[in-house]
Amino acid sequence: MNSTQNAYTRLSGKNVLMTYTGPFDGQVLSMFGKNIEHTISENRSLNKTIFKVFIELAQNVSYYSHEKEVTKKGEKAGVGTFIIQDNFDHFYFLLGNPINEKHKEILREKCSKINSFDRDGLRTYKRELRKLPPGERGTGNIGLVQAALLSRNPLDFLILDIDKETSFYIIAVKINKANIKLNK
Amino acid sequence: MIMNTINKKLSLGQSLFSEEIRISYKGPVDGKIMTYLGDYISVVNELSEKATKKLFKIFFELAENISNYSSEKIQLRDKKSVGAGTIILKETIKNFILVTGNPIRNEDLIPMMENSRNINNLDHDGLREYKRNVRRESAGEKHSPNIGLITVALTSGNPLDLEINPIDEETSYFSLAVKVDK
Repeated sequence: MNSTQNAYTRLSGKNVLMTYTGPFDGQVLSMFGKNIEHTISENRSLNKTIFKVFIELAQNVSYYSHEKEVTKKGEKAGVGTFIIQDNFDHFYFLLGNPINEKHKEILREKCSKINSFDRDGLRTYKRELRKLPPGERGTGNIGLVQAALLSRNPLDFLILDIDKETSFYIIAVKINKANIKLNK
Repeated sequence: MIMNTINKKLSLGQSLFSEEIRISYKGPVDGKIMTYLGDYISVVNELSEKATKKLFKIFFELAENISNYSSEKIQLRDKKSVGAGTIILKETIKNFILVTGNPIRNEDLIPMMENSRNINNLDHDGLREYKRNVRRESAGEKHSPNIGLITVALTSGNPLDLEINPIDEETSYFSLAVKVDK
C-alpha cells in the first residue's frame, strides 16, 4: 500500500474507538449518536455524556462547516471529521471542520471566553446566551458552553491556516472516566 | 476539496487524513452504517453509472467481510454483535480506491491469504472458474469471505492490494485496497 507507516497504524489509529470523515447530516448525527450511546463503554452515564457532547458539537459542524455536500436525501450538510479516542483515564473527543478565515478570531475569542469561566460562570453565561434572540446566538455558542459544562474540562481548540480564505478549526474535549458516576 | 488540504496538513496522531479521502469510518460495521456509506457512494457524481455500480458492489462485499469476520466484535443496542473495522473511500485523478482494515484471527487469515494469492494470479475467466469451484466447496455456508473477495476482484478488474500486520500471537491486522477506474 505504498506507505512508510503500516496499514495497521494508518487504519486503526492509536486507541481510536470511532472516527468519521464526511458530511454531517441528520442521519449521521442520529446513527453515530446511537452507536456512541450504546457501544463506547460499559458505563451508561459516561456514554450518555459523550453522546451529548457529540450532538452539541456535531450540530456545529453540520451548520457551520465551510465545506458543504448534498446528501442522497437532498440535505445540504457541513463536512467534517470526528474522532473518539480511549485513553487510560479519559476519553478524548475531537471534531474538526473547515471555516471561513473571517470566523477565525470570533471562534478563538469564544473558546477562550468559555475557558475563562468556572462552572457557575459557565451556567450564568449559558443563561445569558439563551436570552438572546435566535439570530444573535449564532455560530454554535451554546453548544460550546454545553460541551464545556458536560465534559467538566476546558475546551482544547486549534485553528490551522489553509489558504487566504480558509482555516481548519479543531475543537476537542477531554471526558474523565472517573468523574462520571458508574451506572451500568 | 478543502478537507483534502487539511488532511495533508493534519496528522492528528494517525494518517487517516493523509490522502484524498472522500469519506472514512472506523467503528462497528452494522446494517445502518453500510446503508449510509452505500448511499453516499451512490451519489458520488464524478463516477459513471457503471463505475458507481462497481464501487457499490465492492463496498458491500468488503463491508460484509468486516461485519462478519473482524475479530473485534462490538455489541450494539439490540444486543447484536457486529465486527468493527475501518472503511475509507479515496479519490485520485483516474480512480476511486476503497480501503478496508480490520483485525482477524490468525486461523482465519491463512486461508484468506491463500485465496487472495490465487485471485491475483488469475485472469477474468480464471477467476470465474475459481469462483464456481470455491462456491461448490463452500456450499451450505451462509456467507464466505473467499467468495466475497473473488467477487471484489472480478468486479474491480484490478488486483487486490493486501497488507498483513501481526498484532499478537492470535491476531493480525488485515487490510485491503481495491481500485475502481472512473
